[in-house]
Amino acid sequence: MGQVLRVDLTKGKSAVEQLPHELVLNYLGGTGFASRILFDELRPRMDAFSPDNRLIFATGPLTGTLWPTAGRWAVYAKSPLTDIWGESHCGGFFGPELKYAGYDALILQGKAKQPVYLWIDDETVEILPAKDLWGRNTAETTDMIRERHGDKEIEVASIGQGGERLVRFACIMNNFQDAAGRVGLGAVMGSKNLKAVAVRGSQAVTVADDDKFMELVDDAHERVLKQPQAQQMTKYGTPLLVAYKSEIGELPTRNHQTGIFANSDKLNADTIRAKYFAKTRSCFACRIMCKKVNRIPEGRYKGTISGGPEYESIYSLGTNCGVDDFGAVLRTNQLCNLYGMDSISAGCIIAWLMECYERGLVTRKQCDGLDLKWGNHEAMIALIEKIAKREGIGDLLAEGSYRAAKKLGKGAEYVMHVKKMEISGQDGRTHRSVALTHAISVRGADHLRALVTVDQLGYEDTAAKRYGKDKLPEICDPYTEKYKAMAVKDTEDTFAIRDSLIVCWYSCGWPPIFWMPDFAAIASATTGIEKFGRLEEMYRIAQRICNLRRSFNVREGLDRRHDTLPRRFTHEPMPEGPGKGQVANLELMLREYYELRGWDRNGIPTKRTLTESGLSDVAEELKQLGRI
Amino acid sequence: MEVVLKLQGDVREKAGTDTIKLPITENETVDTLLIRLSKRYPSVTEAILDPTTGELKAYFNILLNGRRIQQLRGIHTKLKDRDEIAIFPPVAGG
Repeated sequence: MGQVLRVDLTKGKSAVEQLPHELVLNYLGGTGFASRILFDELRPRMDAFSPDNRLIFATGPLTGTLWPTAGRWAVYAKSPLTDIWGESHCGGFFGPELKYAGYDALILQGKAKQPVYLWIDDETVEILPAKDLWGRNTAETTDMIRERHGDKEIEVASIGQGGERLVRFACIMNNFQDAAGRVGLGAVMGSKNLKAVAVRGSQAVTVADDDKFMELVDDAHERVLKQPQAQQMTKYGTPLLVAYKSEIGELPTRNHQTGIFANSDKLNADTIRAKYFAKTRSCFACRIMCKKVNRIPEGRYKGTISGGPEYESIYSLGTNCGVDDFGAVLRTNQLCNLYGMDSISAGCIIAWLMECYERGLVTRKQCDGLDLKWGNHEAMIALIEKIAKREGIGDLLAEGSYRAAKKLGKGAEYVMHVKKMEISGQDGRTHRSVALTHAISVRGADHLRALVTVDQLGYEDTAAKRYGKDKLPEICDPYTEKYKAMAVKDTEDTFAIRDSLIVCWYSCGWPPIFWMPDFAAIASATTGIEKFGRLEEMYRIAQRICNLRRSFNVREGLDRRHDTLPRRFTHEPMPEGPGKGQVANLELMLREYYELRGWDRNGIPTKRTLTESGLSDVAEELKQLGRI
Repeated sequence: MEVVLKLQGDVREKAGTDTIKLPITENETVDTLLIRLSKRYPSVTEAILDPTTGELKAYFNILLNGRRIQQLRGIHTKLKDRDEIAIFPPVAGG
């Protein structure tokens, strides 16, 4: 491989660039590559909808190989939702196909004059008209492109009507069930008049050391098959979390007002499997196979059949909006996928408006006549369609809850966001490490870049081996801040490598199937770069990536003031359940985290830290901008 | 006095029920309850206990009123009337 495809949509031209060896040595792949490219090529404070914004589709060195859980890919750009670093990962099959076409990454820049889609068939790269695709949903777009090229195995990454209309939380869908969901990169694609990227590849992916690689792969597959968590994921998928989080009082309900949802049984994995399960599916070469397809046999949503919903959508479109009808959750999730909108943000924005409505801050008339009481899923469906089409109140909501509250002039105190992104399905009051994770995450209120679950799930023996016996019992205690900064930093480093290789979250959850030593071994065997096999080098690369992504955000004006949480988490004690009375105490963890990272008290990487990470040029730029 | 056991996932499937109510004695603890449970509902204890060691299988969790028993006094945690005990198979967190 070793090739990057760069497409300038303004000029209508493409070029193949060789992957710089220095980039590989210093940044590994995926997220690492993107951190360097976006820092180098984007102007500070530029509008995310500017044609100059870059949209990077990237794979990692393991993508398309037999390594389990490595079928993923990722997209990067400046986010129109958060105005900072944007990163979104996706399962499915698009990543391996891009690799088989011969490219480690695709960089898109500029803006096409008319709607277009990009067709990649090995070395054939064409920018084709998409007038007939514009206005179509993601499933229709996928089908039409495959039919046009006469090949059902073409992999399509497309936007729906949400991305076309610049909904700030629009996603990019691989075919129509797998989403690069968060931070609105579908809107960046829409701003470039790019409806889809369609790929077909026929080339092989080679590795440097075949024997070592296969030895590690065999062992990895065995470990995946034997891991108890993975076995449960194969059977139930992520909805298994619903019952557990309900039990511990961390199932966000009615815009995070509480962690207890009275009818959670209606939405849990046992109910879904017994009443709605249709089939299991998987991403490329994955033996965990956590993805489920469900069908509604009766009731208002009878006949709905769709992939998902994952736990996060059950939370956002279900409990967080007061909905206990699984058919409604499946249908609203399906609509988000078809229109190409992030289901987490969509649900959270509706939950915010519902709370405003219930509190009398907005009237029924302002909500286009919709009765937005908790649990009204028919109104939710109407809202999702209005958002995708930017009709009526949907035009306001399409801006995301932070901007919507500002424009409305009301309800800002009920927006559950960090750095303008709607919060994922955790609650730092009853899961203390995640309070820090949400606050410091590089892309806003996110769990996926540094999620620690040792204080959610426990497993003391495993915790003692990882963190040391002296960290018990506090490391496993969800209600104390002690040791949480250390765990979050350690996890964020590991996940920076995970996201550069690019492999799935569920291969390094808790307890992890794979961790840094595994990543070091497989990175070395795959690339033939010996130093990748050294653990200290993996950590050095991880810290370089974390510091560079942070520097990107610092250059955009972020500092400690933005590493915060919604007031609800820090000042409104959990009202009920096992964690009744708990609040998130962020300051102590934040101070420790900054110290561990080598950042100053304002959350800015110091010159010394950047220099030690091999980022002296970044330090110089931040100095010139007056940021350090 | 009685407690309610709530079973989830594989444990529920193997037990064939989602809820079991059991009477408890004055000084009942989690471990004595499990011993009595194994006599009345052997399928439940087979699902959660390692047959060679008699210990809870790896990565299964027992929660008492929403708190993992390790945060309390482990299997020696005392039970009281109307306590709720949830038994979970391995869960990937999030």
